[in-house]
Amino acid sequence: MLDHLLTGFATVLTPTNLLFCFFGVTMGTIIGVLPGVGPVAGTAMLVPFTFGMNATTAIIMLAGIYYGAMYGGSTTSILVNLPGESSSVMTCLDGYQMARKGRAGAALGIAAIGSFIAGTLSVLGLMLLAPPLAEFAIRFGPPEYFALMALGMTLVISLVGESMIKGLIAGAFGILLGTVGMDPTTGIERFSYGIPTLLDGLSFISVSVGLFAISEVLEMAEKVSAPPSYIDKISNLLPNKEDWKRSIFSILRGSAIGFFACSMPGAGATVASMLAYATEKKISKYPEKFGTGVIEGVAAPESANNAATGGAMIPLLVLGVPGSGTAAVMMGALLIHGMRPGPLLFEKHPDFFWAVTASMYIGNIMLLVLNLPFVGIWARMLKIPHSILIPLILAISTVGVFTVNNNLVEVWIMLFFGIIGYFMKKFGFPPAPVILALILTPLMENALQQSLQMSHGNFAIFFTRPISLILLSVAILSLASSLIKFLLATYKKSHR
Amino acid sequence: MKKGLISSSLVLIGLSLFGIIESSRLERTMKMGVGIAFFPLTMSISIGILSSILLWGIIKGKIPIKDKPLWQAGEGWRVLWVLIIFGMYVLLIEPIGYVLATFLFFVALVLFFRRGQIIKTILTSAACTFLLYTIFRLWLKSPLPISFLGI
Repeated sequence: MLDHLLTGFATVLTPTNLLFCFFGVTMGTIIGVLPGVGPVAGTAMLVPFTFGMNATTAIIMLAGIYYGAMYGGSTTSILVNLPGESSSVMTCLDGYQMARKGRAGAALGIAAIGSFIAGTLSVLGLMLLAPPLAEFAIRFGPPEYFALMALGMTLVISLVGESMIKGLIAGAFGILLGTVGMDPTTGIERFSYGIPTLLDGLSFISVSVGLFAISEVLEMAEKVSAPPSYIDKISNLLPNKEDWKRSIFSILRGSAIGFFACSMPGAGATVASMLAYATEKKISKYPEKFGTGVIEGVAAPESANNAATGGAMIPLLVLGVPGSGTAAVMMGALLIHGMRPGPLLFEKHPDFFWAVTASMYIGNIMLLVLNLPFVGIWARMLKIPHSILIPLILAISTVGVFTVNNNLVEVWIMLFFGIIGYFMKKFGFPPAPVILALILTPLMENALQQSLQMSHGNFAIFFTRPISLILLSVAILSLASSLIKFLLATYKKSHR
Repeated sequence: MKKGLISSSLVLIGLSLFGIIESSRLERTMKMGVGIAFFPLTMSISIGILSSILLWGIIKGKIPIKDKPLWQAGEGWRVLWVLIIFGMYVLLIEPIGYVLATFLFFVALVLFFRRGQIIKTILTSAACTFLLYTIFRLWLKSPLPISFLGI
């Protein structure tokens, strides 16, 4: 393992990879700082710019954006009480109160250091867990893959969003979109209506930039407000002895919760940070003080959302099943670069996995350096008015999507899905299952066809193989439990 | 919000019917396996059933709905204008080239949000266009639409 890791470091420590790792974490921090632009939108917008790179450099950069956004999100939560992205919502509760009490420096410091420790621990966890899991998963055949993808999809659908039924509709819509273009087995075209661009299917970049970035811009356009005022007196970024004493175990607990929660598909960084905050409050000697500016309330959720990024790499890289919107975008990017995530990745491209792992260690150090002394610069980014930010995001998205096929049809598709995404958000339909389903459908369809060919058309193959049976049972259970919860809530409401 | 959700459910039911009709036109049988219409057909039917349940829940008041209008005063119009300006930009980008179209797009959108600051807007738009051109064309070598002017 150590040899592999050293080879990974050797790959990352080249000027190009270091530059793009730095670019990724810097862009991630900016995306995290700017309210409205989340990590999914940011990653999707920047995927087209990786086309000229090799797969390793591309994923090093995209992973940097992912964990960089988690770091950046805390800055606005603490200084403005405005979460840069959803996983930083919990940090607002105590972080902003600490800033109001003149302890913004300590809050930012513990957020950055906690994030660094959590990020590093989660990479360590990834390094230790991924190889044995890959060794186990290598035995998977098409039925197990089909069951695994079905499980990943159902977990994401049942855990994201406010309503199970809306999540299911979003997932089904995504699968329907995933069937556009040539059928992977027969080559017969479906729903392309003579449009050449659609023959290869809907590009996940156009759809994801539309659903996430354009829809966010349209939401931003509704209320063009003045840049928020923020607490700019930042001093003593290094936490004192008492702060350390109180937060070190919160950081460790938050790291464990974030890593393990996100190593299963479905529970994203937001869920992880909420779990970590709730745990801290529950075991605290003074739970009533949470929300008034206690340092544990910053340390735990910030550690959890950063540890989540390492955890999220496990289902993505080892099993080939992305567990969140950002991971789905990264999987799409990997497929574009000719890399099929899954256990075979370890066998065929071990250098790739270890380089990405090593880059996460280096990226975390870069982020610590970027976030502690330069926090004032990031906070100043909040002064960019929406009137500039809106055309800037639209123009960047246009170039990015145009470069997919050098074709404006992709830009129209992006705009179309931007409008759909805007209304989906308005009506509470989660967009993440759409992207996940869009990316997984061709792979799922292929696995289903191969499985049925193996069994001469008999569906029993999914229930006679133990791993497939277990995975499908968990998928059905997760759907059934959410459905029962929904029906119970409806029943209680109507009998109140 | 209730009317909006009802409309969205009806649109989804329409999408489901469209999917069912279109899927049934596809060849459904294969020697082994499930045929190319399996996924689109089952998903269209699922969307139809789920949207009907959603519609029923909304009408019967079983699904909680936020008691606020879809848009506050002027919000919907602002979104519509942004879409129109962006649509014009996409239409113009090939005939007049990336640089000019992007500059005009910035001017139009910034003026839309910050009326009356013409000089400041022009300077900001020129700076943003230059920045984007430098990053995408000169640094990343992205192929951008070029007009008869050569830019």
